[in-house]
Amino acid sequence: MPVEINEPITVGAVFSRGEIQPLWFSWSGRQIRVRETTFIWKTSEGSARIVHFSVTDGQGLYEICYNAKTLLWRVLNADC
Amino acid sequence: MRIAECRKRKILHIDMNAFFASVEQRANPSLRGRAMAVIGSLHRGVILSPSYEARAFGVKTGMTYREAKMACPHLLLAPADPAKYSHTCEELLGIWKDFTPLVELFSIDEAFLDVTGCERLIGDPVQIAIRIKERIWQEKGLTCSIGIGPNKLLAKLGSDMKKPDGLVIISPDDVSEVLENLNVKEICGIGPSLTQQLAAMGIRTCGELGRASLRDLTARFGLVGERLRNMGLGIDDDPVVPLATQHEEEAKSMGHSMTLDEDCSDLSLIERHILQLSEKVGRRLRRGLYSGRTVSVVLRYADFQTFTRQRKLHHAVNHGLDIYEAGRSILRDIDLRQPIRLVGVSVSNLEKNVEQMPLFSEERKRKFIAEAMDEINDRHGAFTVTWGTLADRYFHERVISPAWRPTGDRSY
Repeated sequence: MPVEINEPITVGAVFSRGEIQPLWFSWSGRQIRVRETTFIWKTSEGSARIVHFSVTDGQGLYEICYNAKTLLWRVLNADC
Repeated sequence: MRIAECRKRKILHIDMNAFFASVEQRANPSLRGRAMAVIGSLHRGVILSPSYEARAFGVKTGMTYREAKMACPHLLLAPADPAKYSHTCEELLGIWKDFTPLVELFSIDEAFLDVTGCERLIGDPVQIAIRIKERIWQEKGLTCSIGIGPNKLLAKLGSDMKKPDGLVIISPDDVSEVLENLNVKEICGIGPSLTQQLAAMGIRTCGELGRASLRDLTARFGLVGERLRNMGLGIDDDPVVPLATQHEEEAKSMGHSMTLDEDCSDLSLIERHILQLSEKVGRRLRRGLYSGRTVSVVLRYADFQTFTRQRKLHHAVNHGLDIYEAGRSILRDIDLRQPIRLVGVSVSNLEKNVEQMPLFSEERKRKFIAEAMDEINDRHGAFTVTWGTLADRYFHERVISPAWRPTGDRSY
């Protein structure tokens, strides 16, 4: 069952041709390598566009998101 | 429309298979290939979309959590994530519009495409359907069923005939054979009540409906009688109405509701929910330049008994507090006999673009405050600035209404 987290994180990602591909993120004292981005969707928070990524390291499933206005990343929930 | 023109139309109906469940299975690899279902709320929702693996065990849309678990004890559940589904729908719309501008979104997971005249550019309807299926699979990892027919009625019938991942073509020459022994309830638009009324007239199949006397049908159903007989004959002149045209239709009402995590008997708490919903409705009305004269409150008891009470106002309103005041007075007139499971607020009898500048300074101040709050909330997110009472508001799961559309007044 996913656990709600909603914490800021540091992310390594490739921005290319209008697309974002997260490669790794640091959370809870460890670096998690993204093996597969399973789904991408967008929402908005006021005028800010938020891009959500469902990612897995092969063991756990995480929802991370990128705020295109503040340029901040957050991990929203984890199922690991 | 002349018969020859009707025969020439090439309509596709696309139905995304177990849409919500399939999206969750794509997003979460551990759910793929397993009996799972999307549920409105993990605490107490109903089944919104079972996967095909779950359907094999008898799990159906609308079942309660307990009923679904009885049908399939190892059923996995995923809470609904409407933002994921609405965004996916917008992306699917983008794919469909690459083939034709005539795309009518029928619901969040269904659409009609008119590809008449597209043959020279992108191939015949079957080729188009195959290419659409391929793109949806490649880009979103989802499957769909597509029906092809000379009108919307038959295209929809076709997509319903083979699920999942089907492709059914009903050509004009096959119509009478396909419909002859088909139960009338299989036709989109003929629900359980009409099916029962037709059965009372001795009509059970589309063939029988098509041969029925027009006089008998109109005597029983009025104007609908002729439409029903046409349905039995597979005739449907309705055009595919593109999204841009759909937006032009003015809203008749606007509302929001929420299912509570726990049944609630506390009147002050229910009033706070009404204030929260009234604020959402008011903001949406103001954004669409609407105001309305009738405020309704819908309540659902713990045993699912649901009722609506409404109040007509002397003037049209679109301010959250006005809607709340009307909603609260409705609530106070109700003698609650059970705890409440769901509460909803809506405003109807709408007028558009008729708002006047208030004469009195207090009212003007209130209008300016509402406008300033809207501006801040538009920039920083809903309820960034709100009434102190709502600081402790209820965070409920958003529900996608059947009327949802990706843009315009129905985009919430």
